[in-house]
Amino acid sequence: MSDETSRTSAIRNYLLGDLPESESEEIERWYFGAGRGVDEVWAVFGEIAEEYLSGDLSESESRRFEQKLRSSPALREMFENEKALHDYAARNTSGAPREVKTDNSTAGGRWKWPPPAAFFKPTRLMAAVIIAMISLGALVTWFGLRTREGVNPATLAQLPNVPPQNTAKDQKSPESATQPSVDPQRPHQSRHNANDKLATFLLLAAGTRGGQSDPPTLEIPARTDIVQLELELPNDNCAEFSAVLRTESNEELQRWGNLRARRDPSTLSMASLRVRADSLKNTGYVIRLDCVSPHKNLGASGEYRFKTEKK
Amino acid sequence: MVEGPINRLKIDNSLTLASFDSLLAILGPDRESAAMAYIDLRLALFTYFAARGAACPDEMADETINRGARRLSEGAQVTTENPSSYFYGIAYYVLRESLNSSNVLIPLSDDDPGPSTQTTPYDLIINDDERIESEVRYECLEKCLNQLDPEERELIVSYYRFAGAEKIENRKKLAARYDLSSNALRQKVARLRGRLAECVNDCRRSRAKPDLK
Repeated sequence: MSDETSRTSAIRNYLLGDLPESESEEIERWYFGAGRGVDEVWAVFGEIAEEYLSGDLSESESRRFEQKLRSSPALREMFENEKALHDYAARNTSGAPREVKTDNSTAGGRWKWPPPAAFFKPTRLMAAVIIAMISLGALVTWFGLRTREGVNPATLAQLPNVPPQNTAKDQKSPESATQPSVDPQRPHQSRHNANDKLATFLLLAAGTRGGQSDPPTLEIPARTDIVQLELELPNDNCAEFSAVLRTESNEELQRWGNLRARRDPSTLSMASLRVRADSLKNTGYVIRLDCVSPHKNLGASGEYRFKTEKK
Repeated sequence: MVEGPINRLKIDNSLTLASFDSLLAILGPDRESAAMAYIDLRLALFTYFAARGAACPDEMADETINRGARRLSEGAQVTTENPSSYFYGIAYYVLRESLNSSNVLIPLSDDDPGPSTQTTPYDLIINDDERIESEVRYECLEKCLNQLDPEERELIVSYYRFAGAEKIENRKKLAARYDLSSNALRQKVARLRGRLAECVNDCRRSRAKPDLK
């Protein structure tokens, strides 16, 4: 291992609070003496923060990092700034000159509530209110119909005569299927090309958790570019999540960090993520959702199983 | 524009002109290079206190510099090659004193059930506050980004684009475009981020102050 690599590793442990006192002092003496030593420390801090936000930090490192942030208000501030920068870059990717030609609009998948104040300009706000009211009406109607039909997967456990697979195919929200998203609550999802065809599916907690014998099947319409999954959250105990999408054979397809919980007009607590439709096959998938909020609460993580069927 | 090094010097009232001159004299051969060295020193002190969990690393960095400067004006000699090491020694005692004189922040152990793992109405209030805070922070960030040179702004925003393999590829291209090694690029971005953080924190503090007009 080179000196540089071992120093980076030592700085990492220093920032996670894992170094013995004598080694911590050694690192400190180094960055006080070296010209660019402090920059290296903050570069490593930025990398830890990035890994944390994208869910790439191991569970034990995540825990130590959270602990460090809790015990150091200044580091917490730096972390919040880091998050804001990530968010800014994500929101401004579509309009800026791109460094890489390939479309990575689904990668990262992070978005943040609330939207920036610029969103609250009167004209935009009025448009948002109108769209929100239309969405609310459509959702209320849809949920009303769903309840009357008795096909809400969340209630299936109490309806033994209804086979789960009969209901699972219908988890698509009809008003948003195959239409570009205009949900005012998620302004920077415009990172996707406006011409992308979007299919949105709602995965309810009770009907999609692991342990169900027949996970729901999501029917993806032909020519869909993006599949948006709205995950009903198990409870309101967590504000921020990371997620991993895997095939049933445990092959990892995509990760998301910094997914914000939001309360839908229907009063469901939800988190939203997007996947490119061409990366999905006709097979089974599992989404693992983990709470990454510093105010972490128990019972706020879970698994969502589903199958996809492309039309 | 984001302030230059001379303007960013924060001189405590307790620092006399003599002690300030003594400080500049050991930091550099002229005022400009001494001011640059002062900023590096202050950043190292801030980093030290922040990593050690101090509640107010800014104030403690200032206190350390003031103490060192006073001692220099009283005739103390810096025996190390790098004057920053002299201040590191003082910082050690400033930190120890603060730990002895105040309630220390003790990190919760992993298995401590602690109040933070329970959802309480207070948590909900905190979450609302956090939302407002993050909105203000975002606005300040936009403002501070606009104060950077266009090239610096483009660099830092580009640096954060993409995820996974595309992010790595993007950063390689950025390094090539700016004629930097990967390591130099990440350090340059870290420094830019530090300047931004300082600007964002100043902006947030100014927003938090009541309107006195």
